[in-house]
Amino acid sequence: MIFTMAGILLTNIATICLYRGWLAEGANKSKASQGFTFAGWLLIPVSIYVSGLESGIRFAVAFAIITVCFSAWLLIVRARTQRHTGRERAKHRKALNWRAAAQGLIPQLLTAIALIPVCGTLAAFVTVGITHLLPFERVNNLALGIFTMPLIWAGLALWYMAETNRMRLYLCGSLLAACSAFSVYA
Amino acid sequence: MAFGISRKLSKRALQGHSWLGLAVGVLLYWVCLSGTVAVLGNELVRWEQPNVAETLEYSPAALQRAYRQMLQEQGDISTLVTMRLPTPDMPRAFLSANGNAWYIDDAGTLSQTKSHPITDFIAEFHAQLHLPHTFGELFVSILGALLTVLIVSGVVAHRRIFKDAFTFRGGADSSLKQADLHNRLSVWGLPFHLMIALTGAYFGLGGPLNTLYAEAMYEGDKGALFGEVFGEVPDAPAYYGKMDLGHALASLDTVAPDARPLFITFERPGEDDEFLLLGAQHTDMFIYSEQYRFDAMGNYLDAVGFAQGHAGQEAIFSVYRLHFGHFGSVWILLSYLVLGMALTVICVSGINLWFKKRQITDALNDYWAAVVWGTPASFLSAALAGFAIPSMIVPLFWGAFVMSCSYAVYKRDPHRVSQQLRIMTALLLLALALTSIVLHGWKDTSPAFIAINSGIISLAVCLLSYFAFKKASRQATSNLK
Repeated sequence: MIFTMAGILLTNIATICLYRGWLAEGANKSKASQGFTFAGWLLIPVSIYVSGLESGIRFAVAFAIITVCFSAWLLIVRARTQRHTGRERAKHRKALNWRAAAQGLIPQLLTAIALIPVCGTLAAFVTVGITHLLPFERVNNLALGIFTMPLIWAGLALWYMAETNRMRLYLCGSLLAACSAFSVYA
Repeated sequence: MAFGISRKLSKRALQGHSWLGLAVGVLLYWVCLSGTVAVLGNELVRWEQPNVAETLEYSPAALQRAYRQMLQEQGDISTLVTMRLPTPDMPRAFLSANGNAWYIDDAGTLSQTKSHPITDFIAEFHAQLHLPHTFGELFVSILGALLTVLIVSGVVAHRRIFKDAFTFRGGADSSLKQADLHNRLSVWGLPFHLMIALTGAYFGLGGPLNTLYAEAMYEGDKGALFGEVFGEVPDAPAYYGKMDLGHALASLDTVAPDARPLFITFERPGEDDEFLLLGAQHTDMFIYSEQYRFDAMGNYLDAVGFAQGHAGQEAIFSVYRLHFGHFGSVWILLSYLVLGMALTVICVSGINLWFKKRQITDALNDYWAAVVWGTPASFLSAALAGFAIPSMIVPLFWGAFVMSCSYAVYKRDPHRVSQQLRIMTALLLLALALTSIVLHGWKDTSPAFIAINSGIISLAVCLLSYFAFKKASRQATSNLK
């Protein structure tokens, strides 16, 4: 119990250090504030190590994630600013414009198809196509793939949203799909 | 050389983040809200049937008698037969077969039928949004993957992620407040939210991915893949009708002295080659259980290897406990409640931000007010009615939800409708706790019953006090002006 509690305490101190470090901005960003930031980042793995002595490394990581989150939120509540910038403007009430909504439906639908089934299927093929070639045990490759697939999906979706050259996107996407399918089925 | 996210990429990521958030915001809100409540699944099961005797003690002979009784009464068994053993978070033994479950009393007889329609409603809403099982599970898992997309695009869109890490601007400008609320809850909860998204995606997407992996690594043989991950069927010696559960449990104590028995699955019940699978929890790991296999006479055969096998097996079998916070103490459960509620607030505040930026108000605002506060109000109304007609909870919920949407559109005043639904939610919470106390009494009930009812009442009182405080401060501000 003592090591777990010490670990949690260290995580709290780490968050306070990050708070002190990030609070200063621009000209106020002195060496001391950079030191606090560095100490904050350093203390997090130390706290995990200390908790891990008693609870095991898996639980120590979970405790650290939860503790950092709660202590940061508490610091934010404590340091919140209250600005009174006047009343919000009342907004016009309008009837829902069904015609405009219907006109915009097709491009929205195309984006949805690209982001959800297309990126999702491509992510699945890319993930399996790459991970099954890794030099680990098959079960480990499979588990790695299952947990990284949504991240690859996110990457592809981000690429779809950010790419300005649509032709390059479609060409690269098709090439990626063909290579992955070849890797899976060949 | 400096690494950073370009302003252009950030802007496009923000556009995509907003688009996707709006597209799936309502569904994510439902999944997150129900998931937050589902964390208390075990406690809710005990709350719904509080008069079942609770104990951590059990006798193998009594459990075996209960199994025999079930075999005699049920005849043909078409499903797995699973016996849950008492543990601190569920100190009751029960037996499930043929889609039913019964609690087992001290004498080893099957007592009350296990029935918890409110918990089932929450679990099914969270896992499949009341859609048909396979499709619903896949659909919700895709939402988990899309939550990952939202998290990644949110990080890329947020250029001042460290500089603003502790900024919260409250006060009258509610746009800034909503933005800060959304960003601060998201940034600090990021590791937790990412874990929830990835583990949530696994439940439904694991199947299609396994098909691809079977093609790539097992020449299309899915059975071989499942055998390697979840264990091959053991060679059980012929069974001569002399089951010995006691011997199996004693052997487990020798094979894995630190493991806590959690459940027993009777594989091929009543057949000649029947064997037992004893699930036992390793409290220093996240895996749901290691599966120790015994023949029907209780002789140890092997362990599947979730605890001592490959890291991949451990990772796959850790998904459930990580996703629902069923590890550690009650503090972990409470933390999951807060973190789950934070994710729910992130969904709501993200869409609120979009509404704040619009120059007009229309029926979408009305629908949104009905979604945010109509969902808990409709669920609580359905749960209350469910005490009388448990089989009608799902249609009652959707009926109440449609009514709240219609009311919001009819009133054309989202602010007022939101207020009314909030107060209704708080009052319905009180009504739910009081009804359950009136129906089951307070004495001789499980500790979970007392804890859940106290929690519900406290939540209702806090909500009502908060609304009263907000109303008073609004009035004071308008008087000053």
